[in-house]
Amino acid sequence: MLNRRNLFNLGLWGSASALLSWPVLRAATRSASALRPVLTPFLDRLPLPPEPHAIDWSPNQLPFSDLDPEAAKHVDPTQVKGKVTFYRIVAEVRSVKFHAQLPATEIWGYRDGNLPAGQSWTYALGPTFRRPLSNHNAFAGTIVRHENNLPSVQEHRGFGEPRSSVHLHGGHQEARFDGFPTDITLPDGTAFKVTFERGEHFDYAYPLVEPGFFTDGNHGKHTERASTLWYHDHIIDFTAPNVYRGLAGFFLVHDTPIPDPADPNAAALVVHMRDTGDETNAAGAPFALQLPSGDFDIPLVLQEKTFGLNGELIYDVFNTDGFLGEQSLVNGMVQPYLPVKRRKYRLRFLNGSNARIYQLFLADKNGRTYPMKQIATEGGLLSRPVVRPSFLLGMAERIEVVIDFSQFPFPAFSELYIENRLLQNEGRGPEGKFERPELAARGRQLLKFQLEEAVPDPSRVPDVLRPFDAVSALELSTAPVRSLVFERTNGQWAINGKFAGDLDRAMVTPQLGVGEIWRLVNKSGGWWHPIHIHHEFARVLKRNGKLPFDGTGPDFGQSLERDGLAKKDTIVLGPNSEVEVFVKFENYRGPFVFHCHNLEHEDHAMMARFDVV
Amino acid sequence: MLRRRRFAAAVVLAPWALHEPALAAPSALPPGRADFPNVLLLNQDGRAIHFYDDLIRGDHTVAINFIYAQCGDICPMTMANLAKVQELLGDRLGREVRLASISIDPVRDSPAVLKGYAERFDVRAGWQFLTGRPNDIDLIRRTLGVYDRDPAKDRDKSQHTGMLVYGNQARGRWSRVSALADPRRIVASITRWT
Repeated sequence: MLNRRNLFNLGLWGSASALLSWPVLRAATRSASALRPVLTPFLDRLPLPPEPHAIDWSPNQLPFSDLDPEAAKHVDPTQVKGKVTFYRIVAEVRSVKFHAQLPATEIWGYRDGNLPAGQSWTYALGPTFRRPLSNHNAFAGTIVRHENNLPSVQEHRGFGEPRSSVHLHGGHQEARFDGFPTDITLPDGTAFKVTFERGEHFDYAYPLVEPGFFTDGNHGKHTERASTLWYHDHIIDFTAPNVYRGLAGFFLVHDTPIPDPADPNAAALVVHMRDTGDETNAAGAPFALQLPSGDFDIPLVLQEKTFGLNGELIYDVFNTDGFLGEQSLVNGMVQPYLPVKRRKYRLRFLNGSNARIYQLFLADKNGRTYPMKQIATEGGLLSRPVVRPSFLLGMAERIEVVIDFSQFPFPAFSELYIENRLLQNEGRGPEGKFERPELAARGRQLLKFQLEEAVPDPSRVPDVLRPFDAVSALELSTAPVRSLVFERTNGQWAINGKFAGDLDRAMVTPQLGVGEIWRLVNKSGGWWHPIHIHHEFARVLKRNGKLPFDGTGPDFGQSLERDGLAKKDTIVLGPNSEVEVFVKFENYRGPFVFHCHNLEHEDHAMMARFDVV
Repeated sequence: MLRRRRFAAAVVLAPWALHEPALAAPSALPPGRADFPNVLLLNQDGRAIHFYDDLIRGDHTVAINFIYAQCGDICPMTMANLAKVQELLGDRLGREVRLASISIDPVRDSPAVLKGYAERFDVRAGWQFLTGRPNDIDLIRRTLGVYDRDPAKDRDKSQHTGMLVYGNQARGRWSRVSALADPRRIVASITRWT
């Protein structure tokens, strides 16, 4: 429906229409009106959703009287062994502004369920968790009660399925708390019920301990420390529309600066307490890196949406190649701006799009580009920083960079942009190869930095971040090798010749604590598949027979992934690619999944179950 | 109009009420008549079936796959699998769930040919076999997104989609499942809104 307000924003795509890709045109013909709002970029400030409010509790007075017994195993009600932190997150229908020139849009979103009276949640994203790693204390973790206040499955009309299962992406947690996409019966006959509907809730326990803690007796692999996690809906067959409607948020993990005095291995831990989230290092941790923190540590999720003239979300339910939106959003706002001081910033990029792959540049208004210093992937800090001209970012990948805005003095520089130059016209993937993506001379500016005054900057980026050893030759030599071949036959996804998507039984059954080499093979021609393996980070050993990129040699933006430098939970398979990774699942047995993170591929069964046995 | 009046009232009475959630437009309406071709098809009994009006429209699940009688590749396996689905559906078939197998070789697949083909799988009422004009069937495939972008591959019938496209028009939910998946997985998918 047109109203007077929208007429101001009405326009045709004009010259831009020549650039419109075929799927966009096809999507456009599907809605009642093919007219789309034309939006002026950089009118809105970048939203930064705050942390949720923890629910305080006294010994022996749990905040939830009906706490799930499985989650309760991670709680010491007396608080003697540790105090778990509780949160409540509500999935709800709400109305948000995606752009100053758009009417409000109805979305599905997570909000802080423990907001102080009088406060409302106006963000398109869920709250940004910022949680310390629990080191060796399994009772000092985090419990999140997720409540479903979406419409009922029966009432809902439109795309998406209002049934919930929440995945903490990059987290190391029990199978029960991993957001398995559907309810199943386990091999021993017990029911594994993990999805919930309107009026129901589910308690997720995230101990945030180091992998290996439970299996090798207090000697965790101290380097397995993630930094930028995110949580999102993970329901079977409908993750793409549900995440597109807004069910996503950040979950950032940092090292505790102070060791637990009760931990017998505390002394050995100190050297690993590096990413403490405090650039001033007030706690005096001897190995703290002092990376930019607080207001200078900015998570950025890149997403795409298509809006109708009344601000409504438009989604093409029949496009299963992968949905590309017409508008580019950062943190739930169309092409926003961020005022920045002339000092160092830590920027955490997450590709939260359904099917768009990005190649990001830091550019000035004339298109001249400047290098960025990459410090992390989804597996946490690199062993050393790598200066990069640009970087590729597949769906669900995270890349953290530090940009020093003091290098851009007044008055020559007043603004800089994050620009995506990767050519991609269809959901199946961008142009070119993984090793050499095809770029446009200029791309869309996703985010504008408005440079302000210079300020004191106590932060640092040392030359060594979190060093760790690559998997040893000995361990590799004894590791069983599995091939997982991703194919497309008769328009269907198959893994190892079996039509994928059967979550009633495991496709592979790795043993707890035994490392394996997985050969991920993409035989399909033009298709790109970012493969996400739940449960543990993978070590990338080989890509197309060669050592993976480690930042030396020509840098065309390809993922920095070589073992010893980086750890990954999402591995981008370009067309006709073969990547060898090492995985070792620790602590938790049970059913998990690996899948393509092109959300439309994931929903159409490009997923398989693995059981850690 | 109601919406505009409410909007105006909100401005007059309380400017802060602009954030009232009721003002947001609901997300795109479920695909309806304008989004589907309402082409004329014939079923295995020679009865006229309008694709949208008679098959899609309404609060039931419709599950569609594409076949042809001479198909020796995936069709026999697919059809045998869907026959198991038919069995599992029991009396929900035809009421809550409609199955449709549409020929991609409509010139050869006359209603009589399809009737003979359907009999091989003990097809019951509620599972229709449809043929029609080639262009119309192409339009249906394109609308449902089940075709290959590569025109040569798309013409190659042996590579036609093995997906079962299913959805509920009134509820606006659409998805796909492999027609070769475990029949229980297929039934769980196509009965999730009943």
